[in-house]
Amino acid sequence: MRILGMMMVFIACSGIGITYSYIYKKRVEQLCEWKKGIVLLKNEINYSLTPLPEAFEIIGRKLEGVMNRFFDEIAALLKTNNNKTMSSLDEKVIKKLLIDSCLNEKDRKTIISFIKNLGLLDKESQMNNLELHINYIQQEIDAAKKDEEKNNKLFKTLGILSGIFIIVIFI
Amino acid sequence: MDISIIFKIAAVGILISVLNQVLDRAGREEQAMLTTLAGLVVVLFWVIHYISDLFTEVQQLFQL
Repeated sequence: MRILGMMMVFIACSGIGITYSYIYKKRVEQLCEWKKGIVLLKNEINYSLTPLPEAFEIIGRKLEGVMNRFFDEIAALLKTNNNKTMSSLDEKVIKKLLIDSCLNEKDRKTIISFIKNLGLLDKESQMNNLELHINYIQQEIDAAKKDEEKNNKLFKTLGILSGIFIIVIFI
Repeated sequence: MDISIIFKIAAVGILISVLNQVLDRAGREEQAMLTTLAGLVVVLFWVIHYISDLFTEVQQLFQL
C-alpha cells in the first residue's frame, strides 16, 4: 500500500513536470503553425484576391491541430450572419476558440487584435499589416524557442526531483 | 534515536543539491535559494526535538 502511494506521488509529480515542459514545446509548434497560416493568408490576399471567409476556410484545410480548427471556426463565423466583418467579431468568441491552445495571454491578445484589424483598409495596407505581424510572430517564435530550450529540461527534472523529495519527506 | 533519520537527511541533502544545480543552470537563482531554504527548514523540523533533548540533557547533567 505504501509503495503504491509512493509510486502514485512520483508518477503524478513527474507527469506535472512533463506536462509543463510539453506546453513550451507545443507553444513553439502552434506559433509556427500560426505564422504559416498568416503567410498563406498573405498569399491568398495578394495573388488570388480571395475574400476573407473563403481564404480562412482554404487555409484552415492546410493547417493542423488547434490552428486548423481556429481558421475553420473563424471562416464559419464570418459566413454566418451575412458575411460579418472581421472587426465586428466578438472578442470573447475568438478567445474561446483559442482556449485549448498552449499560447500565452500575450499571444492570444496579439492574435485577437490582428484578427480584428484584418480587412479594414485597402490591399496595400493589409499587406503591410500582415508583414508587420509576420515579423512580430517570428520574434515571438525565436523567444519561445529560447524559452523552450531553457525550461524543457528544467521542468522535467523539477517534476521528477520534487516527486522524490515528497516521497523522502513522508517516508 | 531512530537511525533512519540520518539517511532521510542525507537523501534530502542530495536532492536539494541536485535541485539547486538544475535551477542555477536555468538562471533561476532565486528559486534555487528558496529550495535550499525549504530543505533546511524541513531538516530542522525533523531534528529540532533531538536538539531540544540534547539541551535538556546538558542542563540536567550540569544541574543548571
